[in-house]
Amino acid sequence: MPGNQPALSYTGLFVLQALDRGYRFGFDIMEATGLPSGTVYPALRRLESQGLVESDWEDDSRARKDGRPRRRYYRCTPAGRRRLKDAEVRYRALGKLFARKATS
Amino acid sequence: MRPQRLVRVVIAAGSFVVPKTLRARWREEWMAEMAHATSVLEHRGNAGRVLVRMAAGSVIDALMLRTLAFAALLSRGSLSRVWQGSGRDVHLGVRSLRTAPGLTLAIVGSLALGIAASATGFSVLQTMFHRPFPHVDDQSRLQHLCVTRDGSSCAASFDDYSRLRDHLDSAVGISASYRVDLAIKLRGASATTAAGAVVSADYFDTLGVRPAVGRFFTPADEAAGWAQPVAVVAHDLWQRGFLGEPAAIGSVLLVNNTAVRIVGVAPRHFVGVNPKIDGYRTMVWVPSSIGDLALRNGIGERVSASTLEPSYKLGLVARMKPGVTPEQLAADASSIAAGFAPGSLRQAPSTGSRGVSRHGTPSVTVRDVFLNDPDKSLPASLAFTGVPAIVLLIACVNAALLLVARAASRGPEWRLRMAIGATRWRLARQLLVEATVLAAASGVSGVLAASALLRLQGRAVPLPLPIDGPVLVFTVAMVVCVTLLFGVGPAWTTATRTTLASRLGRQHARGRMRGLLIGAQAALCVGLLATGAQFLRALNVNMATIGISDPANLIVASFDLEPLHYTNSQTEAFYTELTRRIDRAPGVERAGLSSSDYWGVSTEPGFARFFLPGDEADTPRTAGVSAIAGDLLETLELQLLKGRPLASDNTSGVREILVNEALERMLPDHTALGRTLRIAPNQSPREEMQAEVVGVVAPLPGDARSDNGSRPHLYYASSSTESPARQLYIRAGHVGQSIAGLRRLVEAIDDRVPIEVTTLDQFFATRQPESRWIASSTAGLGLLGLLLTAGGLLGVVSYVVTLRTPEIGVRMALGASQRNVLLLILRQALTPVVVGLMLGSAAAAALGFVTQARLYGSEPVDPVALATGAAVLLCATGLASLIPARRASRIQPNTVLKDTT
Repeated sequence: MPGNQPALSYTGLFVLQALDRGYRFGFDIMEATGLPSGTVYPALRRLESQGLVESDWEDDSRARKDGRPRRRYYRCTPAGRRRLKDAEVRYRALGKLFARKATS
Repeated sequence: MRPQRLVRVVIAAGSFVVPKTLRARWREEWMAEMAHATSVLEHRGNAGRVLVRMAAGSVIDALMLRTLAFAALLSRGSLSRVWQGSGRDVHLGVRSLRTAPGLTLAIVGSLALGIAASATGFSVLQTMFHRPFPHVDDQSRLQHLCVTRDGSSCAASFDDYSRLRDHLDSAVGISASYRVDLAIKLRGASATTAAGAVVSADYFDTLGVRPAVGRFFTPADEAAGWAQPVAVVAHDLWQRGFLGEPAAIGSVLLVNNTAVRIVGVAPRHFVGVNPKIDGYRTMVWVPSSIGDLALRNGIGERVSASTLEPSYKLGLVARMKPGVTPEQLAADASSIAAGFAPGSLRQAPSTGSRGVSRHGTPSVTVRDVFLNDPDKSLPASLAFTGVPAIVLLIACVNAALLLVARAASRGPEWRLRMAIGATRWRLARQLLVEATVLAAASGVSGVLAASALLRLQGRAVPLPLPIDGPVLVFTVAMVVCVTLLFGVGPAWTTATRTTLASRLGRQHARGRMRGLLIGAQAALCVGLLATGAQFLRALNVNMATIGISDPANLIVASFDLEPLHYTNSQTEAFYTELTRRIDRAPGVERAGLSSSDYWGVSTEPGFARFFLPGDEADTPRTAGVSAIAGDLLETLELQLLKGRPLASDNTSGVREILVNEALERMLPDHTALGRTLRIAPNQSPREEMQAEVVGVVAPLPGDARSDNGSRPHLYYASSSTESPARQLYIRAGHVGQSIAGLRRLVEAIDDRVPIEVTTLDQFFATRQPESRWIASSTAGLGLLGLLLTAGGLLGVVSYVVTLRTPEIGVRMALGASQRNVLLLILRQALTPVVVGLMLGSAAAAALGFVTQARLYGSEPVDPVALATGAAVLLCATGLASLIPARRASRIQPNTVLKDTT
């Protein structure tokens, strides 16, 4: 992990994982992670400001056709995916470390 | 509100937090999210709740966006540099202050004391004038109704109240309360007197007060009346009488010799909505249906609430309906009052000037419900915030002095920083940041100290004195002012004087700024000391002029049998027995009974009309009157100048009286002995009587009520009056023993009789508690200012001596004596003090004249108080300067010169 990058929190990790698994909408991420809206949306803003997540708005005509407001979809950036992999490896190693300590 | 609607409201509210450029998109995103969530959740049971909780998260999201926008702003341009620079300054400042812990503690300590004094004064002022009565619901909708029949005095009857209650549509409710003095007795305790109120059943409901324990009055209590007499007691009485036990509910309280059942306890600190709460704290409330328990007519007969004449004591409070203005309420009430009986105003016993019955068309005016009129808060504001503000100013000047001194000693550091590129502004900013850190630390310490001070003051003021929002805002404002006041001077000095060219090690030993600050401090301090001394002198002047010997051993016991419904013969029997047995009580040397309360310990003195031969019937003269018994003349050191004392067994059939010199001077030829006067005691139903003057007495020592004896007074034997209230004066050998013996004696004669006992000096020491409190606080603050000034001067002079050590060494090497050095340092230290003292005295005198002209009751500055303040200040600062000056005079020149080279 580059030294000037802020650490990825558990919440950030969950949100990145949900996005990586194809959940692209705020409410869907809430459903997938079980986190409340007051946690998920701020995490999305923070990850986006760090360049780990990007978003785009759906086509206006489609929203109009369905008679609803336009949706904003989120996805992981390549940097986000790299951070996710790093974090998963680190957390897995951490889990193993604790498992070893517990059995020794 | 439906969930969807609530969701929209929450998102709309949250959108205002979002930066403007992102707002529309943010709202659109959240509406889309909510629409999607609604479609997913519509088949679940608790969809509405989940949606609302989800919408609440939008506010946190909005705050996050705002934070990110702020962080982005800080991370670019000059603002970023300022922000990051300030962070560094704070870090440097804290580090620098930690290197001088003594100085930091001295500054924070003195500023914290000043801030604590100001915050305490402000909180007290808020309670006295601006905070609502404790536990009263929405006080802004309450209005006092004043029913006037003569155009000026407020006087209503319970009948007026009933009509207003039944017909006044602009009020939700109206309550009536009538102030009375009650004799109360709890099981197993001595009888005491207590302030009480006869109230309408809806009194507490109208005020919106909830009981602490039990319940308040209901219409059923009002209807039951004497079939089931009930009372509500104050929290204080509940704590004292029942130790706060809930079992008090249902127990019996003896009120005016009548058993009533306690049904509820008022919440803590609620003692009615009377103005001037310190003087009148209601302890017991009884419903008006049993009002004849305490209500009396003009000649002391019991009356029921419904038959009571209009009285100034009946307070009416209305709660306005929402949207109704006080003007509308007054207009509606006046239209109803127009139908009231014109009636007559009964003379209130304690107000001598409203004795004439007046008639007129009734009308109603209204005024806000408050403890003290906020419009008249200016004098109190000056006392409660002005005086502590002066202490704070002194503390600021002190802190500035110490900072100036320290800034000068940091010259090498400043020059080094300038040499590596720091600007003057950067140095000044560093000092300002340090001042801010100090002020913030002082603010926090000050609030903690104020909290402790307010807890102490809570014992003197029967009201809550919290540190609430306004007090905290005031404190923050003070911290900002403090920072500006004591931080700017040193910062300016440093910025303007520090140059790279100045020689390393050269210091500013004779700072003009320093002299100015010491002078200002002395000026403020002398004003404060003079004010404190003046207040204390004004309060103690009465004590000094009492003139009676050994007031600490003169016991004054007050009795009032009126609330007990005793007959005249029962009253006389009690007092006769008391007079007969008091001489045998332990520790009692002499004792005498009088119907007059000469120093106003508990009641107003009585008056009598008297006629000289040839006087018209409608032009009587008035004199103070005392019905006396026992050794009153000897007990009060009342000297008999002519004639003889009253005969103890007067069987001649002619009443005998003693008169004082003032009354004698009113008589023809200035001779009184042997004259017969026609006398009509003012408050007695008795017919006029003829009385013969048998003696003339000197004025009563220090009788404040009779202007040192210049007002006429007459004395006659107590059997010739029916006054149920009397004072027993006892000259005691041992006060504690006598008071205990007196209490036992009264309980043995009749344990239902309430008694109030004090000594004359204790009475003078505790009366006017509010004024005494202000005076002692001001004097205390004056002493605090003195300590700060002296401490500051000590620190500064010590510092200057250290700076000038080489110079003093050279002077002494060249022939200066120790005395020369001592005088040099003292002169330079005390010159600004003396200048400041003179300017301060002149300003205090000028301010005294101005406030005397503007403020009612204010006095010009007393020269004795001013001189005392100046002398104390001069001594204290002289002593503070002497310590470092002596140190300077003992400098060894050879050591100093060796160190310097």
